[in-house]
Amino acid sequence: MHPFVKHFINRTIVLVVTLFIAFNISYFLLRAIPTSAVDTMLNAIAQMGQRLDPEEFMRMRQTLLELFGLTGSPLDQYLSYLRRFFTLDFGASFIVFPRPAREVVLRYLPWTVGLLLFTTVISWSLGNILGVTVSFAKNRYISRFLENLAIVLYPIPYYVFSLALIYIFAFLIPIFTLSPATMPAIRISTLHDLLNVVIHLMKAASLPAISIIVISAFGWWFISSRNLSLVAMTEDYVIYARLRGIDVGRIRRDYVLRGIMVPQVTALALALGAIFSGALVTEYIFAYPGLGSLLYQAIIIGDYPIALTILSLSMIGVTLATWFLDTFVYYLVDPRIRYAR
Amino acid sequence: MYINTRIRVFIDVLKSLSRYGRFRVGIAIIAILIALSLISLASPPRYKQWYVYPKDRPPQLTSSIDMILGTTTNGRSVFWIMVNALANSLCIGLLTALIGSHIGLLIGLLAGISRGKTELGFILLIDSFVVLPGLPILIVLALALKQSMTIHTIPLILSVIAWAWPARNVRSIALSVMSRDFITIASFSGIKFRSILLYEVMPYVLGWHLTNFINTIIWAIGMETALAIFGLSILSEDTLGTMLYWVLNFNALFRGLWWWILPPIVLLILIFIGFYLISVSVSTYLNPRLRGGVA
Amino acid sequence: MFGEYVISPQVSIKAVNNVSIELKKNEVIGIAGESGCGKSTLIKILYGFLQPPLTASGKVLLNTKGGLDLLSVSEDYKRENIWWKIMSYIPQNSMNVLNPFMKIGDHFVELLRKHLKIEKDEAYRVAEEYVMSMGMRKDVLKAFPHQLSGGMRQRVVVSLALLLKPSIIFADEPTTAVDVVLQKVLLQLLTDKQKELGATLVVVTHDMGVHAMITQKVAVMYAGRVVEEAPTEPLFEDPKHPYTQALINSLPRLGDDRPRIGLSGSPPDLRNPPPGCEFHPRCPYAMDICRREKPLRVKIDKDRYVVCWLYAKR
Ligand SMILES: Nc1ncnc2c1ncn2[C@@H]1O[C@H](COP(=O)(O)OP(=O)(O)OP(=O)(O)O)[C@@H](O)[C@H]1O
Ligand SMILES: [Mg+2]
Repeated sequence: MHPFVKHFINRTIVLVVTLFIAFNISYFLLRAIPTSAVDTMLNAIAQMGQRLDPEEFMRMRQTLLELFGLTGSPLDQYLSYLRRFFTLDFGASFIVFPRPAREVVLRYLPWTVGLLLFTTVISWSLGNILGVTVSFAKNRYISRFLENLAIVLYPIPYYVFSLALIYIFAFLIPIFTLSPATMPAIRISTLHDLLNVVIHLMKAASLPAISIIVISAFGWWFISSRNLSLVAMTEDYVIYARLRGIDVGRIRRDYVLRGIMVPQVTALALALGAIFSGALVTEYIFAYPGLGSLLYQAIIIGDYPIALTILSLSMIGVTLATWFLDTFVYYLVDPRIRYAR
Repeated sequence: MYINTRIRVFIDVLKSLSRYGRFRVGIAIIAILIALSLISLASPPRYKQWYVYPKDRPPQLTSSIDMILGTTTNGRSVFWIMVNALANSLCIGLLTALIGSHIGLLIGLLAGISRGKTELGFILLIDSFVVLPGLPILIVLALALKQSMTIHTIPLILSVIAWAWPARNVRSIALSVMSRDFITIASFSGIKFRSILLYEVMPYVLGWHLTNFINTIIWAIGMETALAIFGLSILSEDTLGTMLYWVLNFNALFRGLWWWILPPIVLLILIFIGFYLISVSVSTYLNPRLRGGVA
Repeated sequence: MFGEYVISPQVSIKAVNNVSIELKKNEVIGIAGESGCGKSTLIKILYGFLQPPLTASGKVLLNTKGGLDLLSVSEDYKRENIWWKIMSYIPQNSMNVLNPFMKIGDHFVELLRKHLKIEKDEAYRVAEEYVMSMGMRKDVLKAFPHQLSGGMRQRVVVSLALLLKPSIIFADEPTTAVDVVLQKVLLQLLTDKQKELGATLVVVTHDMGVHAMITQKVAVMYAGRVVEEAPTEPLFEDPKHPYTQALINSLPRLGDDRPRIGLSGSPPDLRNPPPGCEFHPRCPYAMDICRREKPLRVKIDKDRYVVCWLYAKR
């Protein structure tokens, strides 16, 4: 069999199994909720929704009963949850009752995906280039500095760093004004609208983006690419290239960087998988209008439909993204897979 | 005799580790933090109550230690909150690491020595847990269990996710050790499988187990903080996370109460850096190919 | 010259210790010795290729460049003017040294473009002709290394080493891990080209059979020192140093079924070598002085040197 076909089949099996496991985790999570919680929840909605029409309320009730496994046989529950999980249909949200939770989540989603896609790609490229460069110039002063900086940044979560950033910028050096970002009009009809949206986006995203990029580029990606290239530099094929007197720049590009691409692309795939849930806390802290802020509101009033939608979405998103990148990007990067023997 | 040599090996390892500047800095940071957290044993019982002290006071030097870091908006002593929060956070990290990394060790070893279908099952299970987003899972779990959560069950909840990375790491180490020649020779020569595992594989795995353990502490403290910021930890207890929750909740950031904001941020950063420096030195020690720039 | 692997300020491995060696034109020199005795390190130093943790002291003088010392010129200079043009290197484990992400052709083109300063297309044409002259089909250029057999890859590496017609070729275990037939073919290829170019070929191998077959001169190394240096024939007929004797005795010989005396024990730890002669713990003739003092280099015949107290004139 062609190695790519084999690779493809392997990855797809992994995809299916991971989705199945994800589904089960989420199913059993729900079963962990005490039934009394559902009553509380229903009461809350009943109070909140005095102005609701009764039909709407009954539908909601039915959904919740189904979700928390209070009606039907176990098999029915399982199957109905299976459908809900993969269609993201968890009924009406509490926050914006009676809007379906899925609709609400999908409205916030582009903000989160946009932010994380942008920051992940930037920091991945930046970190890799820096890491490889530094591993070639081991004893220079600046590379020492970068290494130590990376070691300090690496273990710090975005949100702790964000808090430090807020403290510094809002307080010590007030350059950025911190105000909760609101969602601008999604409809863009004129150039002026577009410009507005862009400016708005820049303002809302700059601080969260900075904290993500600083931590992940100078911390994670820097360290992983530096470590990988230090190992790659002891590989026989790199030593042989140096023996042949190949120019340093070329070795860096065509030998070392090329060599660490295979593991780094896999890591990128994993990281890109996290674009649906990678920086929830950071988003909330900066009041950035993404899933993080939505989730915070949902948690306050115990809005399970929203929380579950975000959970399923991020689980499915992660597995699909990983599968896609792992299968196809790998194919481009590694000739051992691309060409059959 | 055997134990003796093991102890000697251990001391040797410590000696060579202590040559790394990073290791020493890490140990020093953690030692200071532990010392600080021990002060919490002396906290006056009333420190937990609200409005015992005047509120929003900046740090001041008085005869009692209570006001040394000022007070919060709900009239509590920042100093006593801080040391208790530190102790609790360290406990949560430690307990999670005890549970999570050992489950990881066990599953990783099992995955490493199993073959065929069982192995495949283990790989898929471990990899799924590694890939799946931890925070959203923990958020829904914490949301569900909020009523019944105590400071001692948080580590249990965190362990649901915490085992996966250690398991993956242990498996790959076990595999690489077992593919070495001497193991093959040992298994040919009829030495019992159990003793191979115990005497040949374990020594290698244990070093990595230590780094997994430390990394899990870091991860757990971070996760508790994240949950707490979302209001999903035990808000009536003090952890570094709940401290941040109240900071955000009372808008201390924008009101300029720096003496309340800085302690949790600084302590968290110190915890992360301290433990990470130790973990980095251990893994550099275990994997000499990375020594290039370090030491 | 000396070569040391500095692992840390406390620990260093003296892998090459007070060695001096002369390479002549149109000659095949063998370097023999057990695994770990410093053969590879020696030729790395001769090649001027030092990378941490290896450090070297002493001189490597290159006569074709007017007595240039390779250990004191910059790596940039060696890259541009010496490596591969004047000296080339076939590394140990040569089956697995090609860049797995590059086609074979690009390995050739890369070198041709760098040194001949020609365009890509032309370089490719030159490469095609060249591989055919080396007895390979030109489609190998289009393959990635993993698509070729191990023997083929080794042949590619040998061809790469000869590409720019160097005057010195270092070959580190060029034929371990291949079958006997291929071994013959590769060695033939190497020696033929060496004669054609009038070049020096330095062959490192622990296989005394290979030395007997192709070399004109052999240097025997033990624990970082050259213990005996002699033209091949007399060396095999009448080995002087006890270590050389043991090496040669362990060779299978036609019509000889005396039990062969192998060496007992193992080579010393180069971190802290024994005092005196490094070989004394394993030497059947060890005397008192061997345990105390380092032996000196003694000339016993034309081109024949041995480092052993047994031959010291006192
Ligand atoms: N990169 C290195 N770092 C530290 N020590 C090294 C390194 N490379 C080699 N050595 C040590 O230097 C000594 C000589 O090594 P060298 O590779 O020159 O031996 P060799 O004679 O070529 O052996 P072999 O036949 O196995 O190739 C050995 O004891 C080895 O352990
Ligand atoms: Mg060698």
